[in-house]
Amino acid sequence: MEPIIQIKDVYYRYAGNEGEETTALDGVSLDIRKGEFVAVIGHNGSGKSTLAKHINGLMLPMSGQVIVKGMDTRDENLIWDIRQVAGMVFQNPDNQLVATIVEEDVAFGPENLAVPPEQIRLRVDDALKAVKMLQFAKSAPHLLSGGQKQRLAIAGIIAMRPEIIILDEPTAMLDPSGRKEVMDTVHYLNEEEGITIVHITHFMEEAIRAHRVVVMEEGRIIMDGPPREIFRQVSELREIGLDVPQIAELAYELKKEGFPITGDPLSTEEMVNILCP
Amino acid sequence: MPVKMEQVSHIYMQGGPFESTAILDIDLEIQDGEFIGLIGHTGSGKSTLIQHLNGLLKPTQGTVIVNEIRIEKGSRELRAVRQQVGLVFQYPEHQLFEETVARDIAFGPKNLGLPQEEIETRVREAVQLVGLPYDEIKDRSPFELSGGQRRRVAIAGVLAMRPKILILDEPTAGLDPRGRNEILEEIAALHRERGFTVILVSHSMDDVARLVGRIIVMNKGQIALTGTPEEVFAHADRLKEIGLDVPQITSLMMALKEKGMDVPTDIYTVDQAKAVLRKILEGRRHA
Repeated sequence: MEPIIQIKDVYYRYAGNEGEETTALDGVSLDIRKGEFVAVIGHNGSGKSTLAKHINGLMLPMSGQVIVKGMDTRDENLIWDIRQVAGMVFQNPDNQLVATIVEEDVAFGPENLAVPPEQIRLRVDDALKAVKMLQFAKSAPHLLSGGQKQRLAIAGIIAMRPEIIILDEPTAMLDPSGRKEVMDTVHYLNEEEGITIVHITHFMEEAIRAHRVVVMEEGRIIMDGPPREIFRQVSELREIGLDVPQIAELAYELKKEGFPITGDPLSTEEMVNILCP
Repeated sequence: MPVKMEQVSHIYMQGGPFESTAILDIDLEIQDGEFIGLIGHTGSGKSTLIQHLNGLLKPTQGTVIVNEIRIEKGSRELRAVRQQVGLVFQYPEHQLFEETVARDIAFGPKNLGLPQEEIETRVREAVQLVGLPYDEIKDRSPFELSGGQRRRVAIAGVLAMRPKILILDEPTAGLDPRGRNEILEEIAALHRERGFTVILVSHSMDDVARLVGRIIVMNKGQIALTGTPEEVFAHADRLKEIGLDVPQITSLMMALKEKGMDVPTDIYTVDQAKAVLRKILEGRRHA
């Protein structure tokens, strides 16, 4: 089957402040299959957000092509269809909420798609259920916690019935419990609803749980593979200034000294099983 | 310039329908030159606590004493406290507003009515303290800098007031790993080389544990744990109960201990774990 997202040799440049140009995407190609959970890591300025914004047509390639579910993002007539298929969640929860009541906020998207009212009711309830926020349907968004606000933003996307959700550092402004709420929700949507996830993050413990990790540096994809294969490359990741999960680093250090640590452990449990067979 | 809190409570909207107690009966003493990590999740009272230390909030009950200045309910004239205690809020770069970096940093000192040369000296010094090149950056707009640089400029604005105590609320929030490490290293240098008393507010145990001399853990408006990082991580169960992250290494040690291995549970860095496990694995090799 054709991948749901096809990024083909995409280049994108920005004009800088003093006339100099910055290459944000330097020939990026990436295929993402339906139902995949892909984490994109890399430090600020590596091009990850620019890449994300290309997937739902917020930015258009200067050369190359982005095809989402068979639709080319450069085709103006398809842009609303593309954005309905691929929804996006941003970093700051406060910038994404539009209404004064939770359920009205979720209804905003379907209303704009001219969905009939009785259908909207169903979609709003389903969406709030999926993010476990149904009990807050009548609450005011500004009284919610950060994690709840992000889940509400996700519900707003789900009500559009998307097939892809792109999350651009959705947990960066949240505390550990808010982060967990949001990540549990995203994994639920991927596993239970089959929604394709593109998750941009600085938190390696979030990347560990993805099917696939893509590492970006200076506008290029420099690594692409399952988390275990990526985090095995401790010295390469360190070189470009990325963190490595403590367990992966410990395994790497012990291996370097010749101890038999096999299987590239990433979690505490895996390490325990290796040390206490 | 020691700081003391005696039986301090703060109740928001007292008497109203939304009355809530943010901190309750806090006793705390901070000595000159300490480097403190203040940890707790959202709503634990840590932001309320730090706002008492420079008089932005006054206690509903109890007394805060900063350099012999008493802050109590109804205290006035707290300007002296605010100069001595510099508070860097979350996302401080949102507060930048001037046309150039130098003018933004000069804003505070200017409002103190200092002479022009003194202001310039302070701005230059503050820029250097946060590790930015003064001549290159002084005439640029703060808005064309990178996120990490903007945050540094905002911190420099606080340093230009020459505080003795520096409080930073989540200074690494939203930064990438490299930006996070750079900012933390600069804060550590302010403590180590310039003798600032530093209070670092964070919900990341990993970040603080490596740097600070003492950790204070807040939960539900009270101090739940306090001590050196080792002493605090010895109570990893309690930390998990509160809902705080424990470093992976500490979790690993706890799990190994449960399996009957003889390992310490108060360690939190890869190097410490490596030393412990090396010994055990070598022992096995010879067995």
